[in-house]
Amino acid sequence: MNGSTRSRGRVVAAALALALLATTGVLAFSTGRSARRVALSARLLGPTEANQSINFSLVLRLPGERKLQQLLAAVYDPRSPQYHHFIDARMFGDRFGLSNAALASVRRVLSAAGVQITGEYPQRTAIDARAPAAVVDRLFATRLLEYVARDGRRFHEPQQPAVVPMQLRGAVTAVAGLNGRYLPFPSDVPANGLRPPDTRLVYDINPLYSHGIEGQGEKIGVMSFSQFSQSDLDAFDQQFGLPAFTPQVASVSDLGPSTDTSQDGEGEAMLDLEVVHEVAPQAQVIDYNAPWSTTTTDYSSDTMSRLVDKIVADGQVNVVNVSYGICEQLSSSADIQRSENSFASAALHGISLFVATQDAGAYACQRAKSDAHELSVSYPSSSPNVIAVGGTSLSVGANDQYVGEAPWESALEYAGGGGGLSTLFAKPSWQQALGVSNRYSNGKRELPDISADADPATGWTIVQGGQLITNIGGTSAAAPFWTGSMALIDQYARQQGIRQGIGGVAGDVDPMLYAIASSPQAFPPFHDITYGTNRYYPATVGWDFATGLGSPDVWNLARDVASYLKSHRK
Amino acid sequence: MSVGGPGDPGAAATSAPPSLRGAYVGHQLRALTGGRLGGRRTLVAFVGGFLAVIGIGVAVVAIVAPTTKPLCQPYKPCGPPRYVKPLVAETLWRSSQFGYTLEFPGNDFAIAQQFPDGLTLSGKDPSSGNSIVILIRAAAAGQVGPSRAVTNLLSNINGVTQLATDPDPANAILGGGIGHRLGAGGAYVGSETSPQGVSSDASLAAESATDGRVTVAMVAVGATGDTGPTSLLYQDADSIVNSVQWPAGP
Repeated sequence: MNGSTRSRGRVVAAALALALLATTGVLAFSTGRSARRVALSARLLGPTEANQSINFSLVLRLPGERKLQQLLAAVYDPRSPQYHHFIDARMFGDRFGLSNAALASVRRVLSAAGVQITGEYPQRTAIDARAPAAVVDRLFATRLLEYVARDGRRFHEPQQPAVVPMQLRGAVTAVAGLNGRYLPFPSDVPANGLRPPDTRLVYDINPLYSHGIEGQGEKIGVMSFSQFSQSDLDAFDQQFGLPAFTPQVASVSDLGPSTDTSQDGEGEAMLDLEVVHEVAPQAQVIDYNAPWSTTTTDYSSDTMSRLVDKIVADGQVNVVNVSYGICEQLSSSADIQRSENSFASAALHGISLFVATQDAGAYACQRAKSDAHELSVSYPSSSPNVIAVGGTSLSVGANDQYVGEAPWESALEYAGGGGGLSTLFAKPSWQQALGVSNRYSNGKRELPDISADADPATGWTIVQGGQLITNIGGTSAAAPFWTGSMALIDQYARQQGIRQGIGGVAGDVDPMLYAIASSPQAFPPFHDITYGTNRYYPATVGWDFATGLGSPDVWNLARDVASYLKSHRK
Repeated sequence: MSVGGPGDPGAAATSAPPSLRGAYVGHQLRALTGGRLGGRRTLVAFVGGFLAVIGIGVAVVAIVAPTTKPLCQPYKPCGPPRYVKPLVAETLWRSSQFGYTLEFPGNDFAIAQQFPDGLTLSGKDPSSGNSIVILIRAAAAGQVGPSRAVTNLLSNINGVTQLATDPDPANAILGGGIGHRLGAGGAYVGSETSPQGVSSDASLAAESATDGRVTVAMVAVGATGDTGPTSLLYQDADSIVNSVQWPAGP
């Protein structure tokens, strides 16, 4: 704040104090809270330098697309003989991807044009590439322009959409990664919150611990776009008596891990890692890390897809946390095409991706564009192949026992648990439960699927920057909570004798969660939230746009999942 | 001041329901043998006795054996009642006229004025040191709806002139409400004149809602630089309006 503004503010303050109060009162000083704004506009710098290296990817055609969709439906249909028969990345590529000959042809064309191939995946969903800007311009009939955002971040954007050249159209459907204007951003809202012992009590995790279920043998993936601090993880563990852990870092080979050490970026990484770890303290965590830096142009706007492709190709983790997203309307269609190929291969591999629905309530776009007032939802949480995690405001009793939840709604902060109707995707056939068909329904995918505490006012406790930070929230706290919980449930189901070849015991758990919610269960698996709104949609009995199926009673859900899987074993 | 002490969220704790699981009560049925009986009479007596024993057994089982644990039906209550109460025990205030309650962060705000229907909270922005003010008032719902309640509250603010709707769409309040009920909301701008005669800009954000009995409205007022979605004023105002408990409950 400059001197002039400060002075004017003080004048207002004095006047307000005199005119509004007309009384003497004790003026309290508050503690500071961190704040963050998203860059809203950008200034054109000019054409991107001809020799600037540009990362992008080619979205590969899936000739077996129709069969892929049929298999996706069958793999998650309990009546199908294919139920839960997951396939790995290589099999995905062999069955649905381009032939070796077609791939070889693509490589030849790219090489002749001066494009360097930097990554390929056995599932054959995309080819990662790099080329000078001039080559990109020429090959894809566009012109890359360079911008600087209000927050200083530089990015490039095609002046007109990239066009796939004729010689590649048989194999390539889109060019992704070129548009850096709107990037998915983390869903945290920095602000005595939920400490690990509270979380275990409130969401009924302790009985699993009593059964020796703490995540042993489970591997959890956390998608990150910044570095994390090992010393903060150590401090968090020491503070709450948790076992020490060091996430394994896995990066996309050509881009390497992120170099971002900004407070915002690191805050998201620490929140995700610490919440996952506090819920499943014995699970191994792999930090799938890529640059999405505000300080370098060496990134690609399709980085999230690259990480998902790597996760599927590695085949190491069954549950993954994704705390990033951006509203559908601001997402590049090419990037979405790329991501959908990746998410489909993940679902067929039996991997659950828990994705935050973002923190603007029913107005997802408002977070990136404050004048965007239309109802909207965020991507990738709207993908039918991920689990969309919304946000609640939690109430507990004097002994930290669960009392109730309402949707997270904070209108003045433009905040709330994300939820609403997708404009891109049809409602998947498995999305059925009481409340799913309602007065707002239009045949599109409905969000969120589930939810958990995300209100900073009732939020989580983490360690960041050597400090104990209380009341941190956002759906990016709810998503890692669900990710860790599902790792515990996966372990419990295995302990109960349920086995799968690859992937989690239930694969993408979304269809199973709706099936469990729709039929009588021995134990109530969800806290049904029936009061409040997410700034537009009301919480109602059953599923609703404000909180989905609700938040979990983890122990109850674990037993219901085990029972469900036993009764649907093939 | 009739300011209450810290709220006690534990006061709302509910007792756990009795266990639905009962111990299985085992029992044995023994055949009763009488004297020697012969022929058809014997057969009839045996069958009759057998059926009687079976009947008695069934009755005994029905009475003493455990019922199968009832399954939780989707979205039917199957556990303790659930309702919403703030997590953090802040300073509790109750309207003597309308019975609604709210909590406010006592470290950030103090009660500057209070009335039977509402109160005025004052604090300072931690960055600028400027005063920030939150006004909350209520009226009978039959007389005043949410939109009108906002208008009334704005019109009763002294010292702010040239009050107008904020023309910047980026500042619009979407989904305004009180106590987890949707209602009305809006952003406003005004001009403030100091005792020294210097005019300056002020920003106001308003929210209101009703439970059908009482309508509650809130206006947050601060220097333009101290307002907005990431300001302390708006964060605290959100927490305060979310903490409102309606007299009739949710």
